Amino acid sequence: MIPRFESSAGRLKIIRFAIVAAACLPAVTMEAAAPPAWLVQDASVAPLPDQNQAEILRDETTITINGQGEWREVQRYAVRVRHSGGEKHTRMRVGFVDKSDEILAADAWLLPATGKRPTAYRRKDWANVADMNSTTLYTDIRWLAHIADTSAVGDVYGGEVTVIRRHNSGQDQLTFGGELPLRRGRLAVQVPAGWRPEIFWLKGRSVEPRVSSDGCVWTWELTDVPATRNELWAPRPAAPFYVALKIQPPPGTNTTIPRLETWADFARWNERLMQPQCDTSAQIKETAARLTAGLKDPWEKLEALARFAQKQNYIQQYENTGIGFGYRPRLASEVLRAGYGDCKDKANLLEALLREAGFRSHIAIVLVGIGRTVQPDWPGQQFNHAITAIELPDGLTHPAEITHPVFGRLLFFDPTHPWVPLGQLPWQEHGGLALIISGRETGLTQLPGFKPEQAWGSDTRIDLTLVPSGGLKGVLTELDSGEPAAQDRARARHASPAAKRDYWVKRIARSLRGIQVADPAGEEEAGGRYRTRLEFSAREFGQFVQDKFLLVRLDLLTRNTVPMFPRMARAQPVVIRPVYDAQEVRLPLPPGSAVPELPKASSLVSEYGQYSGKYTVVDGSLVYKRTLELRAATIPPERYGLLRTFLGQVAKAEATTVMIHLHQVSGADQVSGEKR
Amino acid sequence: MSLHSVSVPATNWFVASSRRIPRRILQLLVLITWPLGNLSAAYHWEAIPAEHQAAKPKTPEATEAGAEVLLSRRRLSFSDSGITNEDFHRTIVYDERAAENVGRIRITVNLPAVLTDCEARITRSDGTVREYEMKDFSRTKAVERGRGGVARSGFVVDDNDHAVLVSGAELYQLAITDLRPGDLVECYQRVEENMGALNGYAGERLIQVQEPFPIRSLSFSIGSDTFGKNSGYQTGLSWCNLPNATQEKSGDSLMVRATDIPAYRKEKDAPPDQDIRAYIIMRLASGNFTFGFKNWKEFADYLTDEARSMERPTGAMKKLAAEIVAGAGTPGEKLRRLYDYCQRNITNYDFEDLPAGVHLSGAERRALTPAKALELRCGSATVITRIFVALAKAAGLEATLAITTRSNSMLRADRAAYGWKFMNEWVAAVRLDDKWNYYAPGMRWAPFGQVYWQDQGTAVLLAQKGKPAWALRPVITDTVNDVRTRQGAFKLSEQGALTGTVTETLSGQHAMVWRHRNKGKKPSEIIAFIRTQVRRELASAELSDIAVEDDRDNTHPVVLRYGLRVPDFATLAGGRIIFAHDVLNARARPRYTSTEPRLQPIRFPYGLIIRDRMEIELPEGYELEAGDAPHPVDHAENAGIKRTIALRYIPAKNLISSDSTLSIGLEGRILFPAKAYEALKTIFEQINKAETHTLVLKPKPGHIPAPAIPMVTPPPVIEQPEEPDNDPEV
Repeated sequence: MIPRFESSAGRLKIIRFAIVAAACLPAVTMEAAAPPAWLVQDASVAPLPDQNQAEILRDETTITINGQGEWREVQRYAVRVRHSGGEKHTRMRVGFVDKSDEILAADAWLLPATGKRPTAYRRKDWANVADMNSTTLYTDIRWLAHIADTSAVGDVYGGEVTVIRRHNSGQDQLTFGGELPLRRGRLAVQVPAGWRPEIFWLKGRSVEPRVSSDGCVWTWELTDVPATRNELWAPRPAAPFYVALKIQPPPGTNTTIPRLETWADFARWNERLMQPQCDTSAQIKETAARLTAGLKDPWEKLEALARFAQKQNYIQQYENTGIGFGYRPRLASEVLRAGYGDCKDKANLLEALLREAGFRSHIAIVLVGIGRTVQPDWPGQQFNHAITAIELPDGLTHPAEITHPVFGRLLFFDPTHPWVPLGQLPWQEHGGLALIISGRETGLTQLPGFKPEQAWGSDTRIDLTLVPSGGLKGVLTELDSGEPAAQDRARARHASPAAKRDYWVKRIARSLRGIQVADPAGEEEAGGRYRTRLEFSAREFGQFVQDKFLLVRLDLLTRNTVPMFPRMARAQPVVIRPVYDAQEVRLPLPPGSAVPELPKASSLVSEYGQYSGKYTVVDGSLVYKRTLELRAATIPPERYGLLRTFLGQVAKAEATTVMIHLHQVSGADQVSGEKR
Repeated sequence: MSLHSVSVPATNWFVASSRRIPRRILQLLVLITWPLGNLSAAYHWEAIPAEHQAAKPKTPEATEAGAEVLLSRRRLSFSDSGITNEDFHRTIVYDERAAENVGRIRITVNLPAVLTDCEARITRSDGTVREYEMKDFSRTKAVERGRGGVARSGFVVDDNDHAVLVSGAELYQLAITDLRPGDLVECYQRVEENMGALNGYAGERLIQVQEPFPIRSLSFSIGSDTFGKNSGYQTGLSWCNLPNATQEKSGDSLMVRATDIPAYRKEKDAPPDQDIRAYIIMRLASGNFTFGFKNWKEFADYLTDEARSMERPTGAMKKLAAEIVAGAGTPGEKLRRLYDYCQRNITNYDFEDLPAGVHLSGAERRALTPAKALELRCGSATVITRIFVALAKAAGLEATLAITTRSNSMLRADRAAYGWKFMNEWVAAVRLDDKWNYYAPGMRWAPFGQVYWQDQGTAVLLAQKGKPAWALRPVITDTVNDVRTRQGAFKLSEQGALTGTVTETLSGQHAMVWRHRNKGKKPSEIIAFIRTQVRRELASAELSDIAVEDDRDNTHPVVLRYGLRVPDFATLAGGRIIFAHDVLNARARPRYTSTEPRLQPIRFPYGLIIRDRMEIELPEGYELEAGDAPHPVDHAENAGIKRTIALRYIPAKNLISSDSTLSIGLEGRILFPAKAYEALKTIFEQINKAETHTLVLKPKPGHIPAPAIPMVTPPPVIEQPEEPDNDPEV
């Protein structure tokens, strides 16, 4: 929902909001020449005796707020190249909003290790780059970026940028540290008397501020932050320190910076931005009427409108971002006319369509991301996505509804995700905290939780047949729920026939050689599930031993898929997604053959999930059943070993081979039923 | 009179007046006024032929892609004021899944070029038409470049903190969101490049013509009113990997036509893009600029002059060369000493940190001469190669520089039109025993007599004035030097865990690749890399005591040692233990899995030999029940691929021992046509079968197997965090 950008100092910026300042400060046109004293001082610090390619000597932000709420920011950044390959770090960038923010000065310097004359770069040496990706049609969010591409080992690079953010919401988020060690990080905020900056450490230990005697200058400092090791499935952002800042004006101050004491304050502030955008038009009315024409059942109407909003293309168009600071959707009528939008655009359009069809709904803002959760004790900007909260009319109920003290029964829906149907939510949003944007007094709302089998469920049955040549034929039926079902729909819609076949070949090739697959057939099932049927064959199966035995494993789809973690100390938490994977595989035994000994059944339980796997012989068929269930969790580093052990046990239990005796054996040797 | 018609005489005026006004000023004026004059030059849409209106997929690839470009027409027109680049596409949507892609029109314009028109037209299958003008396109200044590093480097930093190339200065985009099967999308764009950009330009441009969708008909033309007369332009057109192409000359225009160009699809082990993707090569020399080559002879002459200026030995070099080769008995020995000197005594900063006390900025590096590099004892790969040639000449050997194609391409540049476009890497040529030999001492990890795999199979042009001399560097699978050996000694537990040690020795290409891949890495990163590599094959592997022996002497192998524990190595079937004896390949997957028809040739990076010797001590109380050995795989004759295996069971020691050798690319066979895919796939499946071959142990009479996994795990216990593995110095 909210466009963000990261400065060279590794900082997440939120688009800020403020009215245009009454008086702009005169632009500073400093001539970049000799490096400033702070940079010379940084360069004199002895290098760290480590192997990192570079070290950040300074990452400093100084924010000055005046009585009108104008935000003036000075960023200073310095880095030293330590080893070959570190040259790429001699760069800096600062995000800004075109036509809203004003860059007053941008200078950079390169101090050669040889002591030769430093190189100074002026404003005109910086590039002005649009913050775009493949889904961006237009943006006025930009970076001022500079790279010193002549740097060498030992050089120190530094930069200083001064920017006025005319439209700011009095809020910001910053990170400190990361892949490089940070010698000194600093955030300083100067406010008028009576104002107060508040920060919340979203990640990393809290740092107490140093406050000037007049209470106007607040400073937080970090020193010697080690480099962060890249770890599997670690929360984002990876930086060890992540802090949210908000400026609190005194009550009654005439400023556009909102005073945010409660979540209701923040919801009202958002409402003022969003509500005017939920307009209507003849096209909206006509579309709502057309989509619901002939439908009597309210659920069917909701489904039709929700599906329509989902089908609008996800395309970002950020115009006048400064005025809306990334929170304000485009007009619903404009989004419908164009046929595309981002998350808040689509949620806003859906609200307009629902309104025309007689339903009440609201935009709800949420936070998605690996291991990220909204901190409920800190009302302010922590969100990055917008969904829709629908007030269910009387007589319409749904298992995923929640009862809200203000809005009554609510059903949440994400119109941005193109393949998760009404009644479900993308798994990243399950159980998260949402803020419903409404003028009515409200706090955070917990989104419904879903069981692993609903969130990421897969129930597969495979019927195998041995063929005389030593190969195999199989029929697979997979019933998916939640995210796998969404992926199935996406594949059915977007993938070419070859890509669909290739997807299945890759899955089956974990365990079989010489595979051929037919075109898979898919269909929707009740409850938002998706069923796939596939016929396949393999040139060979199992391993024949001296013509007497056939060694087989029936974990065809899940072989070597259990996530494994290395045996080492963990610094960051592990974020695991929900998993529910049930499989039943049946192999009719060849005539006259028998299974002299079945593997032991396994049943493993952990606080993170459970696993069961067993082989049986039923009606002349070898039957393998397995279920793995993991619950979504963020596991602290000190419990990493427990998770690793559990998954290791699962992997070991999975690796089970059955020996089939191919020659006729007496009935006494035949095992049947479940063996424990 | 429309604005469009006004613009033409305005342009002509500058041409007519060019004798009186300084050319630079003219160019500037043209740059400023050209776009203004053309802003409203609307495109006149053509009638769509009936066969396009009702087009059906012509090939299976078109069905597969879901859309097809029916007509792609590009034309470059030259005049004294610049180049006009016009591009027209007509695409039909066959399938809904392609609609979103076709509907996203994205035009990238690199400054100082100016987009003067872009338009689109949608023609529905029911005949309705919708047109989009330039004002309907969203315009974003992607990069307003400064004069500093960003501009010169051409990259910025993305959200993931990676440097990314800046592909265009301006973006014009249109999103058409309601396309349906049968809809035709036409897009026209016109880009002007001013004379300032063109003047003095000479060289070849590679123009990629392959798209995500197949192209039924393509034309690419160049020409102009002044072309070929007094303009001074020299132009030419050619193509690569465009099978149905023809060339025509019509008046002052040259045109390449091609049909049925397949969509590009990424495939495993495909040759580099340069060798397989379709492109047109446009040669252009403009203005008074005389540089440029008409043929290989001209290129060879240029090369010779360049080489002479670069390889001339100084007095200091002569003295140094004499010292180095003193006492050497043969020219070959002299050469080896010079080679080793260049690699060991001159720090190659393309591969390693600069020597202590030496600082070179980017500009200083670019300006570094061989003499200065020798003085500083450091240089780039290219400079070191030049020093080597100069020293060889100083030592009395017949040596010169030669040029070859960039790494990893087996494109026969000598056979390609304008093939010099691809010649961009200097190597040293030395004549020994009346035969030219080629060396790349700048490749830091290549020992004397060996070259990087990327440099094998490439065409080399010797710098000899007047007579281009070509050589083809062979692909060599050195079964003596290019070997990776892995020795493991393990003990298998009754619970199926495998514990032991592994020693890997990398030599030849294996060592070069290892050193290249790990250059500049911290010891801890190298340790992590080893761990990742092993765990890629054995996900549950736990490595300990990882040690790397690499003295950076490229004549010595790299040796890796580590302890290995795989807790779930063997599977338990009741009382039996089943395991794969080829420990490090036990869970390998076949190299190829795709069942789709192969489009591109198959190319292995290089020939390789992997020798594995694994010993597994069996758990007490167990004996081998079923002892089949896997079959050897021998396709050395027809495919250069072979796997041998010797498997032994030594009951007295209760030991399984296996020796296997996998050879790929024997006799230099590393390139295969697409039609060989199925056969290669089968061969690698056979290899995979052999690598994952399992053995069965059964309890000896009287032995009671220990339980492997508890039926139900006990209540969870919080474990103390484990200590990290020690990261030894490398």
